Amino acid sequence: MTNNAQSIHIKKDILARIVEAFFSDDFENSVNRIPVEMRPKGFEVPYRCCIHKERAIIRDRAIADLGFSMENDDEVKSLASYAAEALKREQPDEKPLTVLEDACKGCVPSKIYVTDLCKGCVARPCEQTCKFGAITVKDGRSHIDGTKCKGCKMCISACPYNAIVKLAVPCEDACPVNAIAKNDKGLAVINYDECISCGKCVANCPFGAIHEKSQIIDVLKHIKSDTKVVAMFAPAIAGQFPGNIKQLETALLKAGFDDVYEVAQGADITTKTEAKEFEERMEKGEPFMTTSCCAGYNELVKKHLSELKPFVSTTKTPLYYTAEIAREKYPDAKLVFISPCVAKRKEVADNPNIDYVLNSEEIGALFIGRKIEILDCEERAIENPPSKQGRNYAITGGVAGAVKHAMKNPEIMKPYVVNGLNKDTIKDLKKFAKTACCPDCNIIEVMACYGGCIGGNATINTERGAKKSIDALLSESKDL
Amino acid sequence: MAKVTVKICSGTTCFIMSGNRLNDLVEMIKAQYGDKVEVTGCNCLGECSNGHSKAPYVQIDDCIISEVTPEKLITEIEKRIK
Ligand code: FES
Repeated sequence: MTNNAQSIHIKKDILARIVEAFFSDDFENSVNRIPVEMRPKGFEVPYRCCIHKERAIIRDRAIADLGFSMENDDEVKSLASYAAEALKREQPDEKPLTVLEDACKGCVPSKIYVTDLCKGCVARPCEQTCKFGAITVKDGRSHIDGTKCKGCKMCISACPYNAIVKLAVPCEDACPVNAIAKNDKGLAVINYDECISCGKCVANCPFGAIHEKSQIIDVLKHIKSDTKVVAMFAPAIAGQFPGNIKQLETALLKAGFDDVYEVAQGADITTKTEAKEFEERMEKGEPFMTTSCCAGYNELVKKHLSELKPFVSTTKTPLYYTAEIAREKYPDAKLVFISPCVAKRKEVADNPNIDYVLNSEEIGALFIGRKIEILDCEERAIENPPSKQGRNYAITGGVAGAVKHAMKNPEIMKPYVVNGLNKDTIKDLKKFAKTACCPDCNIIEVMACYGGCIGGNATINTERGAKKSIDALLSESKDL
Repeated sequence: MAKVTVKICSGTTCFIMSGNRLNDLVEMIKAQYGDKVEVTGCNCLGECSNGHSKAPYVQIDDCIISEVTPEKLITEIEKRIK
């Protein structure tokens, strides 16, 4: 869940308006009016310098919601023409994220900065310790020459007054693989060769400047047409909405989907396959195995930790198996995965069986825009309900727990859980791969997000709330 | 002193527009204010029919408050207890 309540509220507000616009008589004009309707003349500006800036940022977000990159925006094109183009688009853009320039400019590039606490002391330890000659004392105060400073932070530790600080750039700090950095114009740029789509920059930017390019219009277009559209929702989604999942399924049908699958169903296949694979690997004497259902982690291995590859389970993800089941029944339908995070966009792009991804915020906006009251929905009868273990995949420890449950000799399993990827946990994983040893453990469950999928960047509910409703669901589910 | 009654809207719109964060406060409110405050969830209060921008809504006694954040909810409760 994103920490930034303010921008997340605006984000969902815009998304819901786009859904309303889509079902209005005049989509293009309705979209065009969104910024002015949200910030009409005389509106007290809540967050930024002026109403025009606010409208500009709303326009940026709407462009991303329509599925386009801000990087190619010329500031002249109207939202109406973007809307028209979205309707014509056959294929959504593969790169899932875009940076909203107007919002991103709110923070400055990372640098070392001398604050007013500087006393211009006689000892000048900062000047002494700087190996690059970047610090001089002028007018009783230290100054840093940005062209010489290498950001080594030696001066910070040298200053007895704690007067020197490093200005933080939250997206850069949050990215576990250094794939995002501010350029010389102060704009964050994502390097897609390095990016693992984990969504941490999205969740951590205090200005809400990093945005998913939504596929909602692409999906709505199919819903409006005669094409069959089938929803498959991740286990984490069971904790994102009011009501129970039987009501949620009815709500999704009301929203226009022709059928609904729980991805927990595929999780049951993953569990059984992975338990078998794990036992075989242990019999062969392998030191350990890691899970393979987190898309952020799989990208990490592919792009940054290839040495870990031999240890990663080759079992397919719950989504993969669910899509196979759904595809068999609906060979010509559009299959839409409902995801708690942006990482799955990559997995879906690589799987020809699945057509689109919507996250829980987008589904939420769809419910709001279509005025669907989940608590008033009837409960849909679920014919072959997935197991307790499959439904628990969304919570840290759930995957390893499920595999253990399916093993013949569960007592041999010694799990180690990576609860959230960051620079440190990646270092640990690297070490395990290099030494081919994970002390006191033989299976590593990796979750890119803290708390598991319920901590994904595009979740609606708090982790606590999500865990509560998933626990309630588990209490009425059967063991595998 | 009469009890303050708090109804947190769990209708779709309010829940999605971040009203779910308020549910995390329920236990804390109970612990903090004991029987001075009665707090429950409720179905759609009907306020969202005018649009979703001002959601989430909470009803405190006979009063509807909009754009409720955890901070705002606590402030409104405190106001009525004093
Ligand atoms: S959902 Fe809260 S007022 Fe309708």
